[in-house]
Amino acid sequence: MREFVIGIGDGGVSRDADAMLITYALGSCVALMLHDPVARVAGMVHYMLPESSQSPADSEARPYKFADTAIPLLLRAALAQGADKSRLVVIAAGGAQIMNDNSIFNVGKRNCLALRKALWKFGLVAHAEDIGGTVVRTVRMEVGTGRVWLQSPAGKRWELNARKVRSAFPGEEVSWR
Amino acid sequence: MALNIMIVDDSPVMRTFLRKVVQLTGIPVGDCCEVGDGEAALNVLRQKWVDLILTDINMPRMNGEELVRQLGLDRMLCDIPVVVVSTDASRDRIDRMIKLGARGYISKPFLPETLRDEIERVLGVQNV
Amino acid sequence: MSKPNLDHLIASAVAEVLETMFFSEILGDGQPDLSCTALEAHVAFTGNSSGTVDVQISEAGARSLTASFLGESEESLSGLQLAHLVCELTNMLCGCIVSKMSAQGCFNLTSPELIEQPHHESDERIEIQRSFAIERGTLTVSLASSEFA
Repeated sequence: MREFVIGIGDGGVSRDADAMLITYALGSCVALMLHDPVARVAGMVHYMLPESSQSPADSEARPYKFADTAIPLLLRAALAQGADKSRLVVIAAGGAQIMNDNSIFNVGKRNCLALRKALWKFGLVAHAEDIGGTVVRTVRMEVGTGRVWLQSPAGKRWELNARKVRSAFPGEEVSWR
Repeated sequence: MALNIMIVDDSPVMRTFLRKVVQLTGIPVGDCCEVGDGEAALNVLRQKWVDLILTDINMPRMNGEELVRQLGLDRMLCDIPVVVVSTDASRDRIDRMIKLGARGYISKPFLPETLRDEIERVLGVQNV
Repeated sequence: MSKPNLDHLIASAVAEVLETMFFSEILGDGQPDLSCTALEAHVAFTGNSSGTVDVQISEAGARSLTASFLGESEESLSGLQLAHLVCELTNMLCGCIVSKMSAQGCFNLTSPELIEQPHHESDERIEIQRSFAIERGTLTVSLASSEFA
């Protein structure tokens, strides 16, 4: 299976049914994944911050860095590749609270709120989420099937199913395909 | 087959929010009508068929509790499923509304997907 | 209920309502918005306890919350939508606060009323008032209740 790595502050869409989209080290960042099971279009973004208004120049250069520019961009890219909004399965992971940060600059929580806000603007909510907590996550998504697996730094792996909201560390290990 | 939905709430912005949640369910929606109180709801229901009612409780003229009571007394309307969406999260109120015939209850504030799931549960459908 | 508990209860209700339905959060303590553009609404409650909740919010803050709630852009919103939103926000906050004060008995709320001339003078009836910094402004919640008599 071909692997495409989505870097920090980056995003992309694929129609390659034999491909796997991967993003690493989701701390306070959030990975949003979209999948159209009929058109077999998959998209993933790894955004870092909730709002672009504080850094207009940066958001123009790197629109996938901020939730409010990244999410519309990913949606438009997926639709341009043939995805249908009514069929989209939406999955999110990340937004952890890192280093016991209880300050008002809790980026993980703000990223999670920004995710919901941006999706709601498009009339969408996530079908499955693994967000918050304190664990850094790695995420893999199969383009062909839309299946998503998460992994923690300690090596635990689990599949995130649509409609299994806020799953965390189920007992079974699932091998990567 | 498209379903007709009725939204009963005296807040126009809440009616818009609820309409968006209905669209999340993926249920094919025919007519989605909005009214501001229980009396207006009954007037509409006497003229057109509705497959699901979402209703608030605290409303002027006729509140949601009286609306559900009136629906239960009407042979034609008593089988329409009702989901209550209200700020009142007290056990007493929830029990009263269920006893009067409400099939679902969501207290405000709520996540959109929570209401989406409740609607799907009451109607016996699931989108994903 | 003691004042510290009520302070915490109000803060908890504001956080819950903002995060759940407005995808927003409390940024810290704030100061009441004394500008003439702030919006204010009022709800009375009866049941196991009775009283009132007033909510005052900066116009820019109201615009931001309305956009989030409706999933629309701020520029497209009318003044009427902002007014309706402030009323619904007050309704939800009042319901959330009263539910937290007493989990058992039912309560009834009056329809929210928008206050045309938000008042800034100190009001002897207000028992608890908390102001919160929110995105683009301030949210102030005032609670008066027979619980405190």
